[in-house]
Parts: sequence; structure tokens; C-alpha cells
Amino acid sequence: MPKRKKEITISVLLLLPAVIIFAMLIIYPVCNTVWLSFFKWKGIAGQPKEFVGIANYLKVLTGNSFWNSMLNSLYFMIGGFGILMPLSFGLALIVTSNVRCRRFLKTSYFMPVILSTTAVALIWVYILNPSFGALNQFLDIVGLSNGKKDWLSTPTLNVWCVVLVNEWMYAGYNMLIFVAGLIAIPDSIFDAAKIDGCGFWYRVRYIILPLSKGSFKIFAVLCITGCLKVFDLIWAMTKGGPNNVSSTPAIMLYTEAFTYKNFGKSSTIGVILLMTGIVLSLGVNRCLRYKED
Amino acid sequence: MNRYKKVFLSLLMSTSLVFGLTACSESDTNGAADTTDSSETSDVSPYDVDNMKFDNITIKVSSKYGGTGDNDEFYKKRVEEFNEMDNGITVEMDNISTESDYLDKLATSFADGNTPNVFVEFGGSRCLDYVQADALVDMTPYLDYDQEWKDSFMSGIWDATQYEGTDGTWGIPFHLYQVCLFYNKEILEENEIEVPTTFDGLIDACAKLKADGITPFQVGESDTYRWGHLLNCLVLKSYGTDMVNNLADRSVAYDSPEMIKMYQTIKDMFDNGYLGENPLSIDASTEDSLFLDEQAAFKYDGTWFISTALNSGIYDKIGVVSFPAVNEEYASVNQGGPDMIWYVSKLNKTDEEIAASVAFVKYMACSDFAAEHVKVSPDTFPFKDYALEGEAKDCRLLEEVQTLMDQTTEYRTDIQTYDSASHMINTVRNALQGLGLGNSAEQCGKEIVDRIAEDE
Repeated sequence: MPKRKKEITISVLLLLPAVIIFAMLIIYPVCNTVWLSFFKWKGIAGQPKEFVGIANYLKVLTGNSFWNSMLNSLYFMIGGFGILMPLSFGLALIVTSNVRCRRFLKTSYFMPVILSTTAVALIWVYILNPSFGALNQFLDIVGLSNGKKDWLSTPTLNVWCVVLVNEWMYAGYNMLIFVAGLIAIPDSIFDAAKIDGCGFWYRVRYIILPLSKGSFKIFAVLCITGCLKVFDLIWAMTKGGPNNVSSTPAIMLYTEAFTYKNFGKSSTIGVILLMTGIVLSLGVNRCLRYKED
Repeated sequence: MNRYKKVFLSLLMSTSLVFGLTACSESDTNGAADTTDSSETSDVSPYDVDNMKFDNITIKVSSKYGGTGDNDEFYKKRVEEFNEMDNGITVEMDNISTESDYLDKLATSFADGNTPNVFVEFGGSRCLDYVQADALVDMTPYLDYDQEWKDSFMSGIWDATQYEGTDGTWGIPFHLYQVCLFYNKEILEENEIEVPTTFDGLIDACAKLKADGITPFQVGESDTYRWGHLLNCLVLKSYGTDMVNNLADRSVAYDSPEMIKMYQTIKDMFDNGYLGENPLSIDASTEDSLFLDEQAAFKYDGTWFISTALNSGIYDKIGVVSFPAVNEEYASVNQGGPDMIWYVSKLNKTDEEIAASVAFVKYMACSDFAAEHVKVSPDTFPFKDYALEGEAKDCRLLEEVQTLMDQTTEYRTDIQTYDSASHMINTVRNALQGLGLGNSAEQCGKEIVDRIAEDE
């Protein structure tokens, strides 16, 4: 056997375990979901599935509930880019600067990440409770009783409450993405900038931001895909309610399958989410690559 | 040599992985179960499960009795007693106390074919899909074989376990309830309010209480069944049981003027503050606590509330009446009936497992179960004769409730459970929540009808 051929064989064999795992745990479920999206199935094993063509897609895409849930995902994206990104970037600047108590700050910022989503959700559900929650009590104390709300049961406001909790929870995690980018910038560039008399804002504007593009790209892709499939925090805080007003596509996917037993329709939502995630991620990649060029 | 080692290792890893994953997958995905029956049934009728001998059969039983309350503890104790009987059957409990999580897990188990042998459900159209999929055991032959067991049940309780178009009794009820109106005697006396017997009287009482700065009801609508129950009571007390059938066969639409009137009543009660502050953010257990903390004058709830009330400091202050009639003609029609039902799954189950499951169900759904249960927690059961001892003995509220139940001429449980579409109960309850978010009664009706159309 020629040397080159042997090397290829060995490479293939070494890759095989990973390929098998990928095929069985990713490719197969995705293909199965796509296949199921063309059927009507009540979710009982062994029962026949009725082929309905693209009817599930038409139902989902022409229904108000799907677009309302997409709107909620959009709120998450707006919060992600408008609040989480600057917040995480700011925190990254703080923990990579020479400020005192850097370690303490790093731990503090990262603390919410290590808490389980359910614990975070429970903490905030209690804080936001309209009857005995800390927030309304605080508003009472400072004389802003008119500002008291039923935070988690008021349409739109409840989604934004969850968005803000989400930003609070993941700021530390995203901070690490930016920290990784910041510490990769050579010190010599900062030294040169210092000699040239660059102040803090100039360094941020002309050195840090341009050289952190990679971090922003990673953040953008993670934020978009994460916001599209957001489920756990909103499920633990509102279960998508009341009356589905805080539902997201992932919650709709879950309730269609397990509450309404429409597994075909649920799969359809999954496929739409997957396609949207791929298209948006490719778009962001392309957009940022173009700017680099 | 080194190269051969690599090749060998790669092949070994790949094959072990494939075998490993194959072993993890389901051995049987088409629902065909191994029907080998190892129980000694040759000289015993297949329905005489009491006299069968079982050879170390383990069955999995799912329920929502995972908490630490009296009911939950009693259930667990009863199962442990069954396991100690040394009858060759071992029950593995899978208890999840959060109702929605329990139901979701149950749905998942049906999807992957790995269902529990026995499970608790609420019956009606919620289980219709399972019946239509031939996933449940018909209990009729077991009931017919053991007439004594069959006769121990009250008559007229089988509605929730039978379906039009299918012959069979698909579950065994073991709990009975009626939605009643509980009230705080002291609050009513202090505000010179008579116990309401009509719905108009109830609304007048709510108005007076509200004017006096007292919360009439504090409903925990974060658990969607609360307004669902209110709608059931209003429909039954306004139009009687015919309306339930009419809604089920669509001869009356959910956006008809009759139903809009019902939604409007709930909306008006909400808008006037009769259903409490922020009901959408309060759950049913908080609702219980607030009523027992005397922060609300009324509470409509199932008879299961008796055991909660019994352990409270205001037990002596609590009175109970039937939910007030909207239309006097239907005063004796009530929301109620069997709500807890045992079902036996036959999806991928052997005959012996099914027989063992039925034996377990017979142990858990009988007069003896009720007699033992009321000793620790007074409640109502669908059995004819059982002694009221322990906590149930001289329990005033239980006696009053049983009198109310005796006066009831017709029961219907959640009206959507008589529907042919299994999603209706969730659809209606969801839409009712919208009334608390500013939706009009018409929007509520439209939302339900749109969802029905979407599903059809």
C-alpha cells in the first residue's frame, strides 16, 4: 500500500469515532426532525404518521403565535446586542485593566454563570413578585408606588424582565469571550500608543475595538443562535405565559409537542429555527468578514 | 508496528462505539412486545389477577404524589405495603409532584415507547389519543370478572374513562371531587353578608366586600386550571350538562353568544377586582395560603381542599356550600366526578406485566384504599362503602361536603374533557388567561375557535 494511501486510511480510521458520534447524535436527529416535519403524528410510539406535505410549514408560518414568539426572540437579540454586548465588553475592559480587586471583580461577574438557570429564575421570580417581591417593596420605600407592576404578567414588560435577567446571568460568560480577545492584543501596541499620548478612549476606539473583531464575531453568532433557541430561563420564569405572551419559538416547539401532542408541527418549528439560525450566522460571518477585507 | 497499532486501535474504538450505541438504542421500536407469559396462568382465568402467581415482576408506576403532604405520604406508604406483600410483584415508583412536569414526562414516555406500566391521569379527552392508539388496557373484562370489585364503585363514575366510538372502560377512578364554594364565616358576618346561594347574590357579596376593602376571592390563575374551573361552574350552572355535549360536538361554538357571556362574566369579575390582586402571578398553593390567612373571603375549589383546611388555624371559621346557581334550574348540577384515574399501559408490555399492573390497580382503587386514606386525610372517593375513621371521623367539613355531593343530581368534570380534541383543555385555559391581560370576551372566544380550526 503506498505511503500516502496508508496515511489517509489511518486518518479516516482515527476520525471515524467522531464521525459516527456526530452522525448518530447530530445528523440523524436533524434528518429525522426534517422528515417528521412533513407528517402529522400524535407522539405515540409505533403509531402511523400521516403525511401532510408542507401543511405544517404553512400552519406555522401563517399563524400569529409563531411570529409573536419570533418577536420575543427578537427582543432577546435586541437586548443581546444593545445591552449584553456593551456590558460584557465593559466588564472585560475592567477585569483586564490594572484596577484593584481584579480577581474579586472577575469572580463576582462570573458568579451568576455558575448558578443553575432554575435557581436564577427562582431568585428573580421572587424579586419580581407583585405582592411581596423585593422590587415592588423597594419602589414603595422610595416613594415610587405608582411604578409598581405585575412584572411577569404584563405583556412585553414580562419578556423584557426575562431579557434583563438573561443579560445579568450571561454577562460574565460573554465577558470571558472579550477577555480572551483583549489579552491576545500584544502589549507592545499599547506601549506604542502610550508613547504617542493616546488616552483610554483613543486606545479603545483605535486599538481595542478593531483588534477585538474576532471576539465580536463569536459573540454575534452565539447571541443570535442563543436568542433564537432561548428556552430554559423563560420557561422557568413564565413558562411562556400568561396566554403565551412571553413564548419563544423554542417554547412553542416544546408545548406543541408535549402539551398539544403535535409532534409534526413541533418538528417544523425546529427546522425553521435551525434554518434561521444557519442563515443568520452565515450572514453575520459574511458581514464581518467583508468588513475585515 | 506503530502504524498497525494505530489501525488496530482505531478499528477497536469504532467497533466498540458502534456496538455501544446500538446497545443504547431501543431493541424494539414497532411496539411489538415480548408476550412471553411466565405467570402460572394455565388454570387461572387471565382476568383473575388476584390468584395469579408472579415470578419477580417489576412494574413502573408513575404518579404526581412526589410531595410531602398527607396524600402523597399515604400513597407512598400504600405502595410500600403492596411491595411487602411478597406476591412476586415489585412496584418502582416514579413520582413527580409538579403536575405539568409530570404530564410532560408522561407524554415523552409515550413518544419513545417506554411508558410506565401504570400511571395516574385525569381522564376524559386527555387520554383519548392513548385510547385511539390502542396503548391502554381495557379494564372491562377485569371489572366483569370481579363483580364485587365492580360493585364497590359508585354508579355513574365511568364517564371519564369511556369514549364514544370505542367499547371499553379504559381506566379505574380512585378519587372523587366536587367544586364547592368555601367561605370565611367570620368575614361574612362582620360585613353582614349572607352566604350566597345564587350567582347574583355572590356578585353582590363580592361588591360589598370590595367596597369594605376586603378581597372577595384571591384566585391563583398562574395555575391555569383556576379560571378553567370557574368557567366550568359558570357553564354548568347557566346551561346545564347539555351545553357540555353541545360544545363537544361543536353544535355550540366556543365563540357563540352563550360562551361569550361566560367569558364576559369572568372578565367583569377580574376587572372589578373580585378575583383578587394580580391573579396571573399567584399560584394555587399561594391562593390556599392567602385564604387560610384570612386575606380573602371566598374560595371556589375542589373537595380536596378539606384536608388543607383541616390543618389550618381557621378551620372552624370555614363554611362550604355548592357553587351558586346562575340559573336556578341547574342548581344541583355541579362540576365534579372522578378526577384521579389509574391507567394501565400495554405499549411494549408483556401479558404478565399487564396482569401485575391490574393487580396493583385493584389494590390502589378499592374501598379499603379509601378507608385507610381518610384516616390520615379526609377526602372523597368513588366507592360506595368505607368507614370514616381517624381524621375523617367527625370531620364537619367532610360531612357538609358529602351532603352537598348527595344533593348533586349531575356531575361533569372539566367540560373540555368531553371534547374529541385532546388539546381543548389547554387551549381554553390558555385563552382564559388572556382575559387578565386585557383581551375582550370576543377575543377569548376567537382565540379558542382559531386554535380548533388550526388543529383540524
